[in-house]
Amino acid sequence: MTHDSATHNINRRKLILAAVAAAPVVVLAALPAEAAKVSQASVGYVAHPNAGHACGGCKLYEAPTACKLVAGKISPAGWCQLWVAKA
Amino acid sequence: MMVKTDDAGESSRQARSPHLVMVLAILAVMLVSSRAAALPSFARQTGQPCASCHTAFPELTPFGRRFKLNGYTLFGDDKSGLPHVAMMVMPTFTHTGVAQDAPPAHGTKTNDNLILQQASLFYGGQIFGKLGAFVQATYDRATGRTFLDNTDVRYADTAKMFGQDVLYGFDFNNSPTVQDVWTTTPAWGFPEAAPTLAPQFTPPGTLIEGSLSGKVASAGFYTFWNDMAYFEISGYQMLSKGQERLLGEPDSATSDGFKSIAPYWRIAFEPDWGPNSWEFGTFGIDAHIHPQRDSTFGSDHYTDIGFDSQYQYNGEMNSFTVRASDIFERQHLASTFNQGGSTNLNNKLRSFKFTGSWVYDHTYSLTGEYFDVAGSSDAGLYGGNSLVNSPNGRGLLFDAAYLPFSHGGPKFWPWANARIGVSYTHFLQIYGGNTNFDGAGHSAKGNDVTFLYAWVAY
Repeated sequence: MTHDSATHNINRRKLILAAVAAAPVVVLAALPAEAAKVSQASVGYVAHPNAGHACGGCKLYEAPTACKLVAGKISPAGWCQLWVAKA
Repeated sequence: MMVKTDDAGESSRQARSPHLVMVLAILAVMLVSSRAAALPSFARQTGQPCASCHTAFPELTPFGRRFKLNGYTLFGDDKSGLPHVAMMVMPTFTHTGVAQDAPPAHGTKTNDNLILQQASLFYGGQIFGKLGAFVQATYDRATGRTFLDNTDVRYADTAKMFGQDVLYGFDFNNSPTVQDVWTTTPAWGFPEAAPTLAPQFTPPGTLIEGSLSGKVASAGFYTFWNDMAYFEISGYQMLSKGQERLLGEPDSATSDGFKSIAPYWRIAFEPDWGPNSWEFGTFGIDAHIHPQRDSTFGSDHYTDIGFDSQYQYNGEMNSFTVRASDIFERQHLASTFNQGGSTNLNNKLRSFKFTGSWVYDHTYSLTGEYFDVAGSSDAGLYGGNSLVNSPNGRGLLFDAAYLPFSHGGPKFWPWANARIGVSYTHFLQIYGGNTNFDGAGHSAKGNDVTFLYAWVAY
């Protein structure tokens, strides 16, 4: 076997290995994904309004008890550091 | 997001021809892939101002850390329809205590240089589903090269373990600790904005502190259990010469190689309560290196073990962060020693940093740091810069910055961000000395750097 063909084989092998290694991630990524969210503790969520701001008036709020970015049950009267006024 | 110089020798390396086309091609592929969620930046994707993820960028808040651990895929209220790309430019002015011996880069002076230090193009955000990425291509004025800078691609999902939620993910990156979410580790550590033209003399760093940046590729797995306990294991392999050239890395003809895959580990705990969070952990890498890819003389074996801790108070108006990092490196330099490059077969090197910062309203930032590098004296390694053959150096670093757009940019481009600042580095000791540390008349004070920067991302 010449050096060139040996190199070719190694490169081909590396390419196949890389493709095999990447395949699960590509397949997983293509699956329908449930939206990722963060914990209430990490954004300072409290169950009461702050300075007149409450989850019910936030553009991330999803009635009746959810948020686009924060996990768990969310009260419309609650508040966290991600609060952004509804447009 | 800032590019740091790997070491004193980095900026003096010859520039290689740029390969921006390749990097742009990679970004283009990602753009095509992300058409279902075609959004240009993290701020647009999350619908959040910069202040939600950063106390003062690039330092992350607890939410910013979780956004990254979730694979950059958290999705807020974006209706812009823009792709996940961003740009950054960084004009700087660099002044040193005394003029350098020679201009630090082509077309510069020996002191008082005003340059466009860096320009970067980013892909940042969800690619599709639970796959996301932070990819940076950078033009660096000091070396004149364009290269693939900080790159972190990850897939993340959640499950249950021991009755608690666990976030887990696969990570692929090109620089040890670029995947980390605490700013105690080297890739995102202070100073985030650092000059590339100075200082003329930089204390030696441990292997994990940047010398592998951009020259390696990794695959790893991590878990974040119960929103508190982080575990990661990754393996790093050195890029081939061809891959280095392709990605714009300089001087691949003399670059090093790994004997085998280098394991990297990270364990960290972060309890959060109210506006407080406290992290403590360890990280490290174990690498066998063939200098200049030559295995004839054996390999150099580096083991880096770091310990770090960070307390962060992230209040509505005030943020405080105190961080400490201590990295211990053991070097078994079989190859370098056999080639006459070192006097000792075994050496130790330790790098300690203690940093404190205060940020008001995510807009005004003050940071101070004490750094201390100490290790074995070795005439072969350090004799060129040190009369006493010592790597020892310590000093103080201060940074004051104004971040006008942390709560939102101008109306026509509300996602813009900027950090305008000044930093001062004062060396108390370098290469084991203070005055005439190298026998050529250089002093630690003369190596001091005053640095003005405007870091604008849009």
